[in-house]
Order: sequence, then structure tokens, then C-alpha cells
Amino acid sequence: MIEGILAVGITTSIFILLSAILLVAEKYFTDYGICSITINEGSSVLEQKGGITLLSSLIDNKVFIPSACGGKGSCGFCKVIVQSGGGSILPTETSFMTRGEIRSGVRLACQVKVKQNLEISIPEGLLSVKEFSATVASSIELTHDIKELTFDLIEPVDIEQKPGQYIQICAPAPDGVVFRAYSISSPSYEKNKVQIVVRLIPGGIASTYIHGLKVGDSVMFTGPYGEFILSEDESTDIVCVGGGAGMAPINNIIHSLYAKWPNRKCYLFFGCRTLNDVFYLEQFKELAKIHPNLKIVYGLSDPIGDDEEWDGDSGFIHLSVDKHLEFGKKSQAFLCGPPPMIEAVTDILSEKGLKAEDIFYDKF
Amino acid sequence: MSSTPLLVILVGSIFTNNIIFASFLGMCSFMAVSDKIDTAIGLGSAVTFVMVATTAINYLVYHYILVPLGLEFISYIIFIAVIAAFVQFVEMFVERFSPGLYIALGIFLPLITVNCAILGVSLFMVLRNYNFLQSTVFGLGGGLGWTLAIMLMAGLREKMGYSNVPRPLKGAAVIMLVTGVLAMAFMGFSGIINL
Amino acid sequence: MAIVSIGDILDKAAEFERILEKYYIEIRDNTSNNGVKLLTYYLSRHRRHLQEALVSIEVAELKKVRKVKLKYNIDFYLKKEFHPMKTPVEEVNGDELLDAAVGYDQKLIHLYEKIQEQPLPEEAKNIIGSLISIEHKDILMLKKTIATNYY
Repeated sequence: MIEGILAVGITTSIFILLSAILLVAEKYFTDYGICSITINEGSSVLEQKGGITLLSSLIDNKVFIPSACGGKGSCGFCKVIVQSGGGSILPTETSFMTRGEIRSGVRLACQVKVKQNLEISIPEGLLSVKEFSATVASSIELTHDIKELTFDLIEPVDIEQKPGQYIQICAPAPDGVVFRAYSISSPSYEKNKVQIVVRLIPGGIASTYIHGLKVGDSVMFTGPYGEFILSEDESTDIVCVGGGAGMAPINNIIHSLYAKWPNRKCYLFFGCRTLNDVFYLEQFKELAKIHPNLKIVYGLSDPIGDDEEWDGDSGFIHLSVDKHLEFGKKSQAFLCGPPPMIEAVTDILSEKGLKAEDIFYDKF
Repeated sequence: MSSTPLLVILVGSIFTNNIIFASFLGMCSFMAVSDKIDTAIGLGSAVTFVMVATTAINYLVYHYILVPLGLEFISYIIFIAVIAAFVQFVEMFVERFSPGLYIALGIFLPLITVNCAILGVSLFMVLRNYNFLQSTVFGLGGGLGWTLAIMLMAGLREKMGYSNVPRPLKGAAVIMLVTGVLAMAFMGFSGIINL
Repeated sequence: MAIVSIGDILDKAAEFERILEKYYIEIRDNTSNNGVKLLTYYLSRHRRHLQEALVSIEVAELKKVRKVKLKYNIDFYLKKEFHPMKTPVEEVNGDELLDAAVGYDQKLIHLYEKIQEQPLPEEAKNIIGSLISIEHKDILMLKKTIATNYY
């Protein structure tokens, strides 16, 4: 009996002793004090308790670095340049970097631990990225597998975005959450809502989640991201080419464009497979009545059925680009769609005299 | 107390009484991490280090706390707790003071907590009545023996990756077979000394 | 066992890609489906995509890595690895073609991973690693193309 109590007592006290040692050690070893993170040569300085990753300290301080995997080091999105204090690059990072990036000190923010004062640089655009909470205002089926969703912003109430930029929507996943990028479809002058166009991908985590959203549901996203800048020169034509679901950024570009320059010349080429995949056509036709310089060409790649009426083009969309675009006009092009389409269209555009730096594309 | 000389304990624990090939302890990490020599060396050195240190600590705990109180029967649970706590401690220590070593060993340290070879060595030390110095050397020998075994296996597996293993034997099955053959080879040492 | 270098293996991979290019051209010449035709143009540029992705690596470096001797040979028999699709070339549709392309990419990844498994110097590991990630990205693009249902 005595022995039993003694055994329990000794076991417990040894366990408590060991835990105490570990707790003291943890306090001592993982206390890095307050570290300062200097961003872009002092344009902002964050004070942060050391011991956590750079990515989480940046997010804690409302600097939103794109990250799709939630800090597991498996997506390679959260690249920042660490100028000092980051230690040496880890084997978990090298597979996401080119040699040039390694040389210039690019690191994955989720793999860098804040242990001392850090100096980092982040693209300026990312500093304006915010985290938004919003509710679903509408969810409209455009075709059998494409939905248009509109979000009313709650906090913050407005967004400063430029055409061609995208947001990252937070979707629940089996292990935590995932962030997926979607281009903003609503024009940039609409400051207090965000619209996206999403195709349902069978088995896709985010697209399934978004297609399941109902009016009134709340969502969370970060943004805006992206570097595309629309040419301010009014004599430059704008050429938009989209395929599949690649409509969102184009919709944004066209509406924002005509809000600013009502007479600017703009081509819209959009490729679908069948008549059932066509959407937004009527809406653009209405817009073209007000702005006659908007040229709309929809192309269907599948043969047209006997009982269907179609006044657009047939065949793949790069053929339509070839047919309708004039040679040698000063233009800026924005392409959005599957990679084979982008390559085919890029070839045509360079034959038409566009320079490579005037062709922007977004492979989704 | 046992009177076996230190050198005999060292050689014996590496070769004749190799913790893997004679006692078949620590098999799970042995099978899981023996696919590359580099990682095998990393894990092996981490195991050796932890084995030496925990055997020494466990010796002190056993002889100065448990034996005077007559509580030898709770040694299993105490040993495991000491090993787990020590591994945690080392992990924190290495992370703070040697990031390079942490990258090399860090991923292996948590694996070691559940390596039964470590517990095995502490228990053998008690069974064989070693004194403090003997226990420490036995821990070192056990660790080196384990490292030797996993390196041999890793070398064979690197080579095996490019040979034609019959399909039903691929993976764990062929490793088991090879371990058996290696164990038989190590039986050849048993005539030299015996612990 | 003959001693092989990384260069030998990469040549085999290049040979494999050339066989694929020929196969895609054969499909293009025989198919009546315009979407498939377009896709074969994209797919047969696989090697060019690879080279574009590798521009960041210096030529001297690549030459050095090609000379690295491998500890063990790697079995990669072109005849065994290359399976034409079961559907005759005239009747292949877009989805089948893309699925097959994903399969071929996976074969290459498998080959590169076999190199990666061997003990290698750091720079060789990096280059092979980037080859693997390029192929993974290519697969991702192909899968997304399948999902758009445009071809």
C-alpha cells in the first residue's frame, strides 16, 4: 500500500520535475525578445515577438503575402526578399527558387523564423493588400458550370483595385483552409463590391465551395494582387482575348476602360465550345450600342447545331483574332484562358505586330 | 556490479550484441529511414547522441532515486519520460544555438522519442548491472551499432533500388529478408566475445 | 554495369520527348478535329517550354552537371515507356490527348526522381529538382486545360 502511494508520488513528481525543466527551457530558448522587421528600407517597421514565422508575423501585422498552402512550405507563393537576419536558405525552399532568386536572397516567408531583427523587401503592391470580410449578395448561374458571384464588402467597406488584379478567396479544406486566386470581374469604379466568375472544376476544393455559397453567406478573402497596368495612352487599342471561364478580368477591363475613355477602341474576343457556354454577350452588345468603338467577337469551336442560330464566328478564337485584327496598330493585349489558347493567340498577335511586352496573359 | 572491461562492452555492443541484429530493437525507424545513406547517418548520429546521454541520466535516476526507494518496478515509465523530455530539451537547445545542426538533425529528433532501442539500452544497463562508466560506454556502443546497422541497410537499399526485386517482395518484405541475412552475418561475430 | 552520367539520362529523356513530338505530329496529320490539332501544336512544344524554363541556369553549370557520374544506372527503355494511345490517331479527342500527355509527363518525372534518389552534388540536385517542378507545373496546366472543357 505504502509502496503504491510512493510509486505514484515519485512518478508524478519526476514527471512534474521534467515538465518544469522543459517549460523553463522553452521560456528561455524560444524567447527571442521583441524583434523589428524593417520592410522596404524603412517604409514601415514592425515590432514583433520573436519565435514565430515571418509569414505569420506579417499577417498578424496586416501585411498579406499571398500563400495558398497555409504556411506548410508546399505552394511557394510567399516569396519575399530577406536582406539580413534570415539565416541560410533551407532545403525545403530551394525547390521553389531559381538560382537567381537564391542569389538575390529570396526566401519563403513561411519558412523563415523571426529570431532577430530582420530587413526584408516586398513588392510595393502587396503592402496595399487587405483582408476583407464580405457577404454573398448574389449568385447567378451563367452557364451549366459557370457562376457569377457578387460579394458586398463589410470590413473594410471599399476596395481599391485595378483591372486585371485578383483576390484570394479563403475556402475550407479537409486540413485547414486553402486560398485560391480569382480575378476581379466587377469594374474598378465599383468600390464596395467584388464580383468573380467561377467555373466548377470537378473535385476542385475552392470552386466547389464557391458554387455552394448562398446569398447571405459570409466569405473571407485577401487582395488585390497582380501587376497588370492598363495603358493610359488613349491612342493605344486594347485587345482582350478570353476562353473558357477567363472572362472576369476582361469584364473588369472593358467596363473600367469605358468609364474613363468613352471612345477608346477595344476588341473583345471570347471563345467557347457551344452556344450553351456563351455568357455576357447581350450585356456587351448593350455596351457596344453606347460605345461604338467596342468590337465584340464570340467564337464557337464546336460545329453549330441545325436548330441553333448564331451570328458570331465559328472555329477557335485565335482564328477570329487573326481575321478581325488589323496589322500594325499600336495595341495592348490581355489574354486569359487555357495555356494552348494563350500560345496560339500570342503567336497571332506577334504576327500582327504587337511587341512581347504589350501582351499580358493570365493562365487562369 | 559487472566487471566486464569497457572495451569489451564497446566492441560487444557494436558487433556481437548489435541492438538491431541481435535484439531486433528500434526496427520501425530502421525500416523507415534506411533508404539513403545521408539520412541514415543523420538519424544514426542523433540516436547515438541521445542514447549516450539518456543512458547516463537514466543510470543516475535509477540508482539514486528508484533503488533507494525500492521502486525498481516503475523504471520503465520513468525511463520513457526521461527520454522524451531529454529529446524535447535537445530539440529546443539545438534549434536555438545551432541552426545548421538543427536542419541536419532536427527532423530526426522527434522520431527518436519512439525508438525502442533507446529504452532497450537503458533496460539492458539495469539487467546487466553495469556501473556508470560501463553504462555510458554501453550507450555509445549501442548507438554506434545501430548507426552501423542502418548505414549498411541504407547502402544495400540504395543499390537495391536499381535491381530487379520480384514484385511481391518489393518494399518492406525485401528489407525484412535482408535484415535477416545481415543478422545471420552478424552471428559470425558472436564467437569473439559475449556480453 | 556501364557507368552513366546525368547527361546520358537527360539525352534519353530528350529522345523520349522527340518520340512524343513525332507522335503528336502524326496525330495532327491524321486527325480531323481542329481542337486536337491545336493541342498537338502546344504539346509538341514541350521541349521548348522546358528550355524557356531553364534559361535561368547558366550553360556552364548545366554542362558541369551533365558530366556528373551516377552511382547506379537507371532503367529507361524508350520502347517500354512510350505507349501510344489505344484509340487510333484519327479518332483521338482532346481529353484523351491531354490525359495521355499528363501520363507522359509523369514518366519523365519518375525518371528524374530516380536520378534525384541517388547521391548527387548539390547543384545537380537543384537542377534535377527544377526539372521535376517544371514537369509538375506542366501537368497542372494540362489538368486545368482539361477542366476548361474548351478543346
